[in-house]
Amino acid sequence: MPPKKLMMPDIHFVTALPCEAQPLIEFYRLKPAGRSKSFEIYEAPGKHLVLSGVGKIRAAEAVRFLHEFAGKIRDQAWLNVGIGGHPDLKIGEGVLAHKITDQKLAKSWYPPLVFEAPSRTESVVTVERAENKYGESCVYEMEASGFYEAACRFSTAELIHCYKIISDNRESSTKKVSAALVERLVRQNLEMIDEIVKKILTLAQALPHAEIPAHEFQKFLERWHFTVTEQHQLRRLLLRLQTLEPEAEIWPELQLLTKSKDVLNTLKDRINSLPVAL
Amino acid sequence: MIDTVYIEKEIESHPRTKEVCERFPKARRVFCERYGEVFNPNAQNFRLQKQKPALILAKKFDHFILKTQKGYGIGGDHNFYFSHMLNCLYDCRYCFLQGMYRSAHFVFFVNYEDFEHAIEKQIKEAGSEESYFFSGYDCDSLAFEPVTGFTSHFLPLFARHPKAWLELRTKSIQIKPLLEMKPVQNCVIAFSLTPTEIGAALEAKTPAVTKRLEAMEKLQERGWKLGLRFDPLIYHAQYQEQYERLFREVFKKIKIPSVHSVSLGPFRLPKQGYETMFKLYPEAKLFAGPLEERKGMVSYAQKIEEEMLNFITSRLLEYVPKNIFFPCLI
Ligand code: SF4
Repeated sequence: MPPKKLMMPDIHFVTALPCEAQPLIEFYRLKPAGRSKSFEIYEAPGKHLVLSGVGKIRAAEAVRFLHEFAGKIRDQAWLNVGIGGHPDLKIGEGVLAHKITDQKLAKSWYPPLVFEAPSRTESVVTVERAENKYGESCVYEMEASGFYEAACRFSTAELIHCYKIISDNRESSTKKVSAALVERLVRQNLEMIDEIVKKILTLAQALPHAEIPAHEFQKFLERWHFTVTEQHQLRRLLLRLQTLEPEAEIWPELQLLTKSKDVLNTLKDRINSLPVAL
Repeated sequence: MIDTVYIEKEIESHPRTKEVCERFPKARRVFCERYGEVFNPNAQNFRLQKQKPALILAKKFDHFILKTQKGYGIGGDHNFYFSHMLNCLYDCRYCFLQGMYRSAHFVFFVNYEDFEHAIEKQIKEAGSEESYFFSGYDCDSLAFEPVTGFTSHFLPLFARHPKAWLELRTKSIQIKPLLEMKPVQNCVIAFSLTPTEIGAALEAKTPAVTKRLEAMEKLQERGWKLGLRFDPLIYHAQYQEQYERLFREVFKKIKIPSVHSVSLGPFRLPKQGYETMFKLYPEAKLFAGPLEERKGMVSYAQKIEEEMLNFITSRLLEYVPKNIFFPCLI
């Protein structure tokens, strides 16, 4: 059974506004791929983007929608790209979140930065309404907490990140933020966003690759009846055999068996009979 | 080496927090309420985090010392362990920490004084009887020494209490502070040892066994008591000749009068830990090999385990007197 390399995970972008999405759609040549009453999805091979609308609840729902749309595959890379305000960072500066706090829930998340962050990193606070006082030295925005909490249900935290571009600060208030400005700011940050995407995808390659191809596994389920527990055991034994003896040709031997238990025992015996290597 | 330091707000101005932060001036500092917010969430991958773990500075609130499992010890009746850190610099494929924690970040508890009080209370309760305290259960005792200053703090405590033994369990060669101080007679510097080939295959980032032996020789010369820990025993086709060679090398350099105790332990994992580790490293030959579950533990098939234990015990006893030999059979 030849080991199957899993494909590189997809990158899933989540943006709130069309003006945040447009530069990404052009840069990655994304095409409209589907829509619901609430969300629009764009895609290219290995990439998806969902337009969520404003606010953490919509961001969370958009994550779920995209996860289902893209085939419910776990451990994909997720990146929320959006704008935010900061008391004194300059307009256009992009930051990765190293902490996300939901101001209303008083709950925080800490995206693990397992790669070298190519940009500055900051605390991000998700607020219900646009913030004009900039009380603390952090980025204020409206989607990150909803996005992050939802994405953590479908992937592992190391692959889920938020990139926020400063659109307003104490010197330049939210009133000056227009769609044209936002589009320009995202465009200015495209190279950095792409670098972050590459870093996350490179990291994702360290996830385990060993898997039993679905059609191989199906062959077993069609030939014998395995209970759910036995299916779990079967998958485990096949994986072990694949690791120890990648070229094993066990199917002819198994085909002679009538009971699922005998199949499991034969696999176990085969594994135990192999010379143990380090 | 450390890019991110998470700091519990409560200990922001603790002197040990400040010292550690000074060692990593370029690291980003992120404040949290309790370390569990960073360390415990479900959606984390130990394998990914191991590529670049962060450091979490925290305060421990309770359970400073815990009783060891029955069957674990080096000659005493009152055995305890304590952990000033969770997780390890090294990346041994067999390490049970991978199966125990969701995060690979290093947690460092800065409130040494609370550990100290708990240890002293226990020593008092034991009265005239000896107590044994094991460090290096949830981490390597010495690997982080330049950052934590663990030995410089705790050894003087044990020097004041000769009835209390301290075991530092390590694969590290960070022995400078030990060489600079007077040996503490009730402290055992216990090195985990495996044959070179096993170390190369399964103990990523650890100092080579030859380096560990050099460190042990230096400690021996200075008069420190050593522990030899052949744990876990790893089975494979050439294990007999490899362990025989290891014993020859070890006992050529390490003299029995310097050895406080020798122990060995088979490779065993709690079932749940094994499941987690298999998912993290399904391609690891170690987890794919001839293992089976017995009484909630996953270990080598009984026949293999017995054969290996008998062989290694008999070879070891050619060098080691029985009274300092403690096979660990948990
Ligand atoms: S040295 Fe010990 S604690 Fe560290 S990874 Fe290896 S087995 Fe685990």
